[in-house]
Amino acid sequence: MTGRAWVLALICAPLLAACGSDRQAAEGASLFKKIAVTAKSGLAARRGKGGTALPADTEVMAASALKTVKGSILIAQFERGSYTTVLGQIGENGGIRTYATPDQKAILVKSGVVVGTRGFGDDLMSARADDAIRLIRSRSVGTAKRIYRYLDGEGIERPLPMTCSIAPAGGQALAFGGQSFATTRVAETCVNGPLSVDNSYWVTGDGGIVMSQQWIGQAMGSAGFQLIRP
Amino acid sequence: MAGTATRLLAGATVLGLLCGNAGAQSGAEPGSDIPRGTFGLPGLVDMPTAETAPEGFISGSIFRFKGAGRTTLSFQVTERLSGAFRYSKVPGLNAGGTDLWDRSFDLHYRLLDEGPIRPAFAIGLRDFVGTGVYSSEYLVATKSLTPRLKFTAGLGWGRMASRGDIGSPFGDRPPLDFGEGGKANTDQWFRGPAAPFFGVSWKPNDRLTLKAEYSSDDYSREVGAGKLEVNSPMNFGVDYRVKDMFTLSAYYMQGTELGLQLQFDIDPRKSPVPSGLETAPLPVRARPAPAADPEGWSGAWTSDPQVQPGVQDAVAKALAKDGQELEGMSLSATRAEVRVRNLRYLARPQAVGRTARILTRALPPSVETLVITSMVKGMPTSSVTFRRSDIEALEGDGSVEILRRARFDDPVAIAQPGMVPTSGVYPKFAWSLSPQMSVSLFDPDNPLRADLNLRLGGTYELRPGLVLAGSVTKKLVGNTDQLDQVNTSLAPHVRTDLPFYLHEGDPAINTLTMAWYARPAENLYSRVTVGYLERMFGGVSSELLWKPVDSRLALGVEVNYVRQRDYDQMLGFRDYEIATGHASAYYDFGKGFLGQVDVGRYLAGDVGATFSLDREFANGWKVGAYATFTDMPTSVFGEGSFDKGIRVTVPLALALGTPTAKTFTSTIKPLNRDGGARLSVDGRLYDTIRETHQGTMQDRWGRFWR
Repeated sequence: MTGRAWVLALICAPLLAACGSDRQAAEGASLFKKIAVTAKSGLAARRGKGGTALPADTEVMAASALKTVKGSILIAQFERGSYTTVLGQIGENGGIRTYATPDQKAILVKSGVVVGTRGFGDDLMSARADDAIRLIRSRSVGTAKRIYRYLDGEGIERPLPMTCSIAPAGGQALAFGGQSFATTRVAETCVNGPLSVDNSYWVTGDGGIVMSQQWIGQAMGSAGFQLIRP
Repeated sequence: MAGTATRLLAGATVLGLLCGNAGAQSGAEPGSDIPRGTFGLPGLVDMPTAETAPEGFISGSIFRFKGAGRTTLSFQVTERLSGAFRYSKVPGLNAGGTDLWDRSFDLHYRLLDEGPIRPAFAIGLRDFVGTGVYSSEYLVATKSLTPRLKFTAGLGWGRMASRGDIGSPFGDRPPLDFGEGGKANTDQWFRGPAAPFFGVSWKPNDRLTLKAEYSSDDYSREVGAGKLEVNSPMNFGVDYRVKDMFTLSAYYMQGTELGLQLQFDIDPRKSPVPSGLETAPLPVRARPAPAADPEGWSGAWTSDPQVQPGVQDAVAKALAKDGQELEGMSLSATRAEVRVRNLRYLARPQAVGRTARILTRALPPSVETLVITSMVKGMPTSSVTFRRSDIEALEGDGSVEILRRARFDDPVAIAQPGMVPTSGVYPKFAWSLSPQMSVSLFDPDNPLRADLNLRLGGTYELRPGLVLAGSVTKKLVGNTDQLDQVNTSLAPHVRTDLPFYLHEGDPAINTLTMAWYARPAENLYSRVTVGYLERMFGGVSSELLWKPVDSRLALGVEVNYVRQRDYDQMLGFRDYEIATGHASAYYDFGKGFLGQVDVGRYLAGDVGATFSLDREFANGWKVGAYATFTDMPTSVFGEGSFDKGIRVTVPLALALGTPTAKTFTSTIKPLNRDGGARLSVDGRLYDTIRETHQGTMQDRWGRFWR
């Protein structure tokens, strides 16, 4: 592969967004847009408080994503803001896959376990979860140490260590995205002092996590994931 | 220069220490649990307590009662030390019985923390450099009987011993040497009669605090002026926390008057919106195995003359989409250096981290050494060098891991041949049209005046480091031109003619300059600026700065020859000329504390020194204070005796949740006098380059993988 091929690879990266020709003006315009959007979403959040946001039809989403997106596809449903989005894989490095939403937020996943987010705000910067991943995928009983890392309000990285108990919790048949799976549900409870969070993983016979409910952080809360295409 | 090791370890320790308590991120706002008195610092009503706000908190309070008012801005400088600046209206105490408008500074220091039995102890100075209307000193103890019930007792001197004194334990209090005010009344501190005070506060719930105190301040001067009636030594107060940030208080004072206070508390470490809403960074692209791309790994591609231009173009485009600009690139079989101007990220490590990831996607596999050089005003100011294998291996790890393996250098020291400027970057033109506020405070006739201006600014960079810049302003609306157009200053009118400039300068040419920034040698930075440098002066300003990339210390000299501009701020000059300049030392004390000393000759020809201390947070908040002492006699300087002020910088990114390098800085000077006045020229070198150097970069390194 020559240098030009690398150049091509860069240009094809699906994350890149358009931007104006005049940087100063573009920056200014985006600031104003940002403020407007922030104000609007604030309003929406207030209106939505206690409201009845309908769960998006994930099956419709999955079907259309399978047609239009190449590569691995994930559907994520977030507790916070109760919204659902499709994510397509845009990269893989060291066993960590990066999935991106159409509006260029990203989720970093290692063997089906979320180890990072970007662009959601107050993101999970990174996580060490290898021991937990091993137990979950082998559907075994055990405890594992995890470290979650976040930025505090000053922008300084703070680790959050957790001790996690993992145990299988029965078999379950699933069907979504035009496929059906025989899975074992694996339950995980992670604790640090008064903080206790629950995760669930639906694991297939070969150790693949096809569906999960995972805690991401105190700000983002939990999210559900379905692996539409591995 | 490899200054990595020692400072890196420090960073690692900090992260290690914080492991335990990161879980307690949410919860009630602790700052609002510190009840503040009517002087804006922790207190009951008029009397202080031994409490302090959480470190770093910035608070403001506006208190009104019976024709009097106090507006206080306070800052929790360290865990123990609080400082406050106050502007007060004291009825009837001016010569001739008019209202006195007074500025005052307070310090409050928690000597001992509360123990199981021992109460907390604090010592304080109230109004210790002003004209002294509130001058008092105190020792105070506070004990929590339960978390919601606190008792306070203390001993006050000065004004806080005007009622019920118990004698003078430390000798007589000499009369106040009033002079022009503004000097520390050191010989009075803790002298003269002392009087006890005490009180209690009770918090029935999280929003409400009830307070009662026996006050040792009898307001005798106000009573003497016939402005106040005092029937009781008891004061009562109710604080109600309206929102996390705001607290409303009501008081019943001296048995006769009602008072009201609005207070706000800002935690600079807490963002009002979620931080990190920008689009996700491009992920690292791992290289294929050597067997899969033998040509790329062999470096044979270097013989293809089209590779470098192609790579450079692609990197430039990807960076442009990320708010950065590729000014130049050098590429060999194993090493690539990119020179990047960051236009978006206040935290430089975020810019560097994103650049590193873009490089992994664009460079042929044999390139292992990545050098990312920050460009500021056309100068290369710092280079961070990574092994590409480290970037690939540590993308999913804590940011301190990649920091441990990064190396900081002066770009001049490690420069290698083959740097190719990106075509089309220079000349570079940019313009902006923006609203601008100018505010005049502390005029007794009208304590707050403001103008809203429209500012049109432009910069034209002919080549790296050579910048033509200008700005004009036009007033939209405002009332600063109503400031009195009389100037009785005995010193050369280098600053006190401000009302004339405000009145006549509409529209005004604010600045029109040609500046040349350069790197004359390793660790050295230089600037020469010619033209209309600021509102009141034009001429030549030149500066040389020594600052190794990994040094806490920087040294600089600045020499200016300037002439005073005409009031209309067009092209003309008045007939005042002066050579002015300073030798400066800058020191980064760590934990965000930055000190600076400037020694030299000021605009009015007075000779002296300016001492500054700033507290900078990693997210860009900055709070500082400065004072200037010169040989100008206080009788010539006039009211205030010497120049001093406080300044606050707020990063805009905090309000948006997305990165922008834009910040707002305001300096509050209690008085605008001619002594100790420095030229206000744009682009001073230290602040221009500091954020790209190792110290600040390490403080902000958490954003590297964002």
